[in-house]
Amino acid sequence: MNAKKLSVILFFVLLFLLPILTFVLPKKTFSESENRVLTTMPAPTLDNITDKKFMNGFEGYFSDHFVLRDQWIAAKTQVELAAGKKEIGGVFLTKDRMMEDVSKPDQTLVDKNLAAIKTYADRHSSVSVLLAPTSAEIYKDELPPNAPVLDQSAWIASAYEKLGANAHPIDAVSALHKAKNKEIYYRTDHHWTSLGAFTAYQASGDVLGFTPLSASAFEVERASDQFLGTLYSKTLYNGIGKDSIDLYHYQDDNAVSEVVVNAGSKKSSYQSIYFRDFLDKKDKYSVFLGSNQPVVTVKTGNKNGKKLLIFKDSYAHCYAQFLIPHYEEIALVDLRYINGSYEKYLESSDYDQTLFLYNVSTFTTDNSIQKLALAQ
Amino acid sequence: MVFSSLTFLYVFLPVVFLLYFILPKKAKNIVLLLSGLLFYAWGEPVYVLLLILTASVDYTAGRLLDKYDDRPKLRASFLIGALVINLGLLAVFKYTSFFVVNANGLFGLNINDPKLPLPIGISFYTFQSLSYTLDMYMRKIKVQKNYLSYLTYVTLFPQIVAGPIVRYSDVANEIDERKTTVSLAGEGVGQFVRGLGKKVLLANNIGALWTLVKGIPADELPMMTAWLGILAFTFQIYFDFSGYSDMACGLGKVMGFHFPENFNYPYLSKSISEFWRRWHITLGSWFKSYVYIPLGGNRGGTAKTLRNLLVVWFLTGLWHGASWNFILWGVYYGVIIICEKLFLMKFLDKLPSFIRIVYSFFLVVMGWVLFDIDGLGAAGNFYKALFGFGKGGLMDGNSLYLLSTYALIFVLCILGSTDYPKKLANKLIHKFKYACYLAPAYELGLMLVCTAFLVNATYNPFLYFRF
Repeated sequence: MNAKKLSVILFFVLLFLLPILTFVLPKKTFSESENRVLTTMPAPTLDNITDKKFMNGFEGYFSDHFVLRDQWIAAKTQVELAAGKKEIGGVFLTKDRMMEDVSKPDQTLVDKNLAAIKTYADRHSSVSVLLAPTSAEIYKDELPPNAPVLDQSAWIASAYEKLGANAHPIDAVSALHKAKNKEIYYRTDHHWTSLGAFTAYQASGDVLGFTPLSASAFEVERASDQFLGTLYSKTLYNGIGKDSIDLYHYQDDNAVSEVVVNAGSKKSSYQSIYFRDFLDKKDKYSVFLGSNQPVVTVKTGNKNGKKLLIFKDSYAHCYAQFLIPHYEEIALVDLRYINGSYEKYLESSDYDQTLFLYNVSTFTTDNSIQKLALAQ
Repeated sequence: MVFSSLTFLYVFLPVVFLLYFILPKKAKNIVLLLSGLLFYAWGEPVYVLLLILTASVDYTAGRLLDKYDDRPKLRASFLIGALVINLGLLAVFKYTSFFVVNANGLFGLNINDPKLPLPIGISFYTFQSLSYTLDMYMRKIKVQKNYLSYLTYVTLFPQIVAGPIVRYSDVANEIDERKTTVSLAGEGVGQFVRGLGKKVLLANNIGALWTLVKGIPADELPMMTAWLGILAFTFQIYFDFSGYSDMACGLGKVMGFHFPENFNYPYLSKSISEFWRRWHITLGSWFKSYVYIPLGGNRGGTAKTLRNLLVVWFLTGLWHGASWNFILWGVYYGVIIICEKLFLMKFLDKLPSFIRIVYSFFLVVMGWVLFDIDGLGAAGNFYKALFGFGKGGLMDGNSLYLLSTYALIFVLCILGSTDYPKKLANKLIHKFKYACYLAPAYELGLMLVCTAFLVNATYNPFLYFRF
């Protein structure tokens, strides 16, 4: 056979084979590996066609359900690495870990966020702020040389200076730096591990007003060693291996009496802060208090009358397990999931302490904290 | 629709090819016509009507020019009528905002800018269709009496949205009578896949670097970052545009068409005049045939030649977009080409090839600054950074990081801009008996890698939305 003929045959085989397989093979509605709902086929109505919703939807559908999608994505990551790329889709790939790229923030946004906290702190008593660095700060020596990342340590220090006298900063950075040889951040996910959160917890006692317990007060349970996190989902890069998830149980049988998840439309009640159903799914980090919800309230067996309100992102979910010995009630409020004022869920005056807990990545890109001003 | 999408590659193309090759000869043009309309309507579900209107105007003009062949005055009025409608539509949909904003600014008026969205490819298809009327008027071609054949020509999906500008005369015979051969199809497949690779692997990847650099305010750019950025754009626009043209020509060959080639290693040019004979060839030759020569070309003495050149280059700039930076970019080339014609060429001829290539490449890169940076102030700051007069200094950590990240892609882009890979392939094929089978293997590999990049496309822009 001559080469031209072979070119034509190979091209046409590929051209027909891939779409036929795509349409014939069964479809998923959810991608476990990418951890997201896949696009559904749009309806070809006249309106959808004239405003191009149908076309865009179809392209999204076809790409989402393309045969061997995960393998194609993984292959692309390998080719990009071979071509000298060190960062793929906002994720640094190094020998030992993946790290989220936290770049220079939009300072106007950040200043507004800080001002919102300051205003809140001026009106409430006992307000603390914990800005948590992400792994790219703690392991910056593992990043590619000259990678243009934010100096999170210096940035957090400068942010703390803008908070005013009534918001008390918690320095977790130095403690985390000291603990960098331990597994304090997941290698395939953007969160800190329980050990990382524990390290931050130990650094929080002075400001929050309790004596932190030592590690021996908790019983550590390895809940999973099969965790592939959000950074893996973005790259489908297999070169790092899997992470383990540890749960730190406070050794007191009656520690948690009730966990109430208020999703706005409905309230559900649980017995534990660990949502073990998630351990069988892709999104295993959600074993800590479930996925992000508007308000989650944890009631403990403590009768010390101390109630803590936390405005937070998901870093707080794993941190919260260490607060159980110290509070009677902990409310976690995620302003990103609340339309309007948080006051339709709870009154801040019912709580005698407030903590703002965000990682630098969320805090520098999300403006939902400014919704605090909507409260009376 | 764009070529570099999974939907085009793995839904549109197989369906169209299947129908095209199993249906009898008579139905083939219908398949082409319907697929062309669908291809265009996929991106412009409403403006597709405008495309049909343009084609109908030129078809009618052609018939009338043919019918009243012995009535010169009538013929002139048909030509003018067609020109007014064709260019009028182009002016309304592409240049209204530009006129309004400038008129408001210049005369202190307060006309409301209607902000009409620009129909994709309007500059390409208007010029294509217009070539028919102009050639009919000049009696260079035979009339096309079959409306569907004419509409098929205008809507040919391979070239409708991003060129090459295929004149009616280029395909006048093939539109009604053409043959696919295995050898031509094989050549077409190869050209298409290589074009896809240029776009998806080289242009998109190096383009991401330009996007990063453009995100840094021009007055803070270190010199090295500015150079990396503008070189990235230099390669992005070449591989994107020539990749599209290759894909178009390749698809044409699979169906038996011979579209004119649009690029011929332009970055190896030894003068700017030569650059424009190797870059977007079909646009340059369009302006030459229908503007420069009708204006008198170089036959009316130096002053008239210069005027004609400036008109052509003003229009070339304006064709690329309704904005002053494009006009300036066009005039920039007009001035350089005039200089070359008047005195520079004599001097250049004495220099070694390598220096001439560097000279041309340097001026082209300087041109891309005007082309892709909106606003004279920003372009000025960018030039300052390029020559080390910016506030960003010589380089910073980020410059080094970008260099180390993109070094290999730059090397591939540089190699890909030359004809060395082609020469090497030809050498191998002549030397080794089975080396010819490297081509299908290479194409298969390229197609697979492109598919992987399209499945997870993070950056896949369409650069010609302003054309």
